Amino acid sequence: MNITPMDASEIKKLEDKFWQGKTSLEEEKLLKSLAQDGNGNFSQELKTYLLNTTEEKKPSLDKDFDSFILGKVEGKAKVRPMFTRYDFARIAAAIAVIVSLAYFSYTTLIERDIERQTLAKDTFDDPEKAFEETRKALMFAAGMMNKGLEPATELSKFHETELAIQSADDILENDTIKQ
Amino acid sequence: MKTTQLKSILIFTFTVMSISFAQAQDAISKYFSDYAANTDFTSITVSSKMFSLFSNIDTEDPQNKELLQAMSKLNGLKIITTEKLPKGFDLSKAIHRIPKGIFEELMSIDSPTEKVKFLIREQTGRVRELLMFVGSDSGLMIMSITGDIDLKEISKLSKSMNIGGMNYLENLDKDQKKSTK
Repeated sequence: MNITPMDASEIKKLEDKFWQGKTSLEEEKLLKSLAQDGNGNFSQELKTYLLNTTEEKKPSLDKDFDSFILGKVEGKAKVRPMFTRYDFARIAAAIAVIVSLAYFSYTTLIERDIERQTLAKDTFDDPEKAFEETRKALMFAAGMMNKGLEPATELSKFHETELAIQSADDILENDTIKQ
Repeated sequence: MKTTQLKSILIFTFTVMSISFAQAQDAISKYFSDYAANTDFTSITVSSKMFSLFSNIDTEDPQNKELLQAMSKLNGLKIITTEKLPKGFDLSKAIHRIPKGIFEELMSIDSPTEKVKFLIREQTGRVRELLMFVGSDSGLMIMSITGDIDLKEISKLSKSMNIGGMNYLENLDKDQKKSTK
């Protein structure tokens, strides 16, 4: 549309026409452009109205809708990934529950098995004989344990002797310095 | 993901875990029954009930008092011994039957005459079971002690009275032994 210079009377007429609702779409656009350029010599009320009104956005469908419809039409609807983050979370939660249950059952089974073993038929009826045998077994286990710990004990003794020699050397050295 | 796929994964996980747990559970319980069935083996069992009866034993011997103190926290003892090893018996293979996730090795002695292995099972920071394997050309002994085990206390016991090596087998009163099979 060509915008030709307009005098104040023409603009006033157009404004009156606007308020009466008789302006055409082109005339409204002309008024709006004049308001935006600041050229229009019309009332502040109309100016504010024109500058604040925006064209109503036409409703439109997004691209996803198009691809979805096209996919449906062509029989190739968009393929969803095999595992989503939500699926992984569900699997992890389920596995955690199973592991906890299995661990709990397992420890219970072990405990029951040990209980069953300990409640097994005694070899001895006499507590004193049982005590004597247990004593021998514990002594033997303890003996073996100490045998296994012997090298560590020897090392510890060696270290202690080394420390004792070192401290004796230090004392002798200090005495020599004092003299 | 489809529900059927999820179900399959869960069933598979559960099956695999159940099988492995069942195998681990069987390892220890089968152990004693396997050897107890063999006539060359002698087994000794002291139950928790018998351990509770030890508190009635009167003794003036300080060493026995110390022993009774140590035994008060125990609730089971099982021993399997033999002086005649089965043909093709392998101590390492026997030890490998013990579930690794449950038992851990405490110490081992590898001398030319004998092999000793200690394994422990811990629960909430306490030793609940002590397994001992002693193997040599002249015999084998497997011992399981259960209860609240204080290793330091047990170690202290034999400082004055040490029965070494396979002599223990000779010290067992054969008249008192009877198979539990």
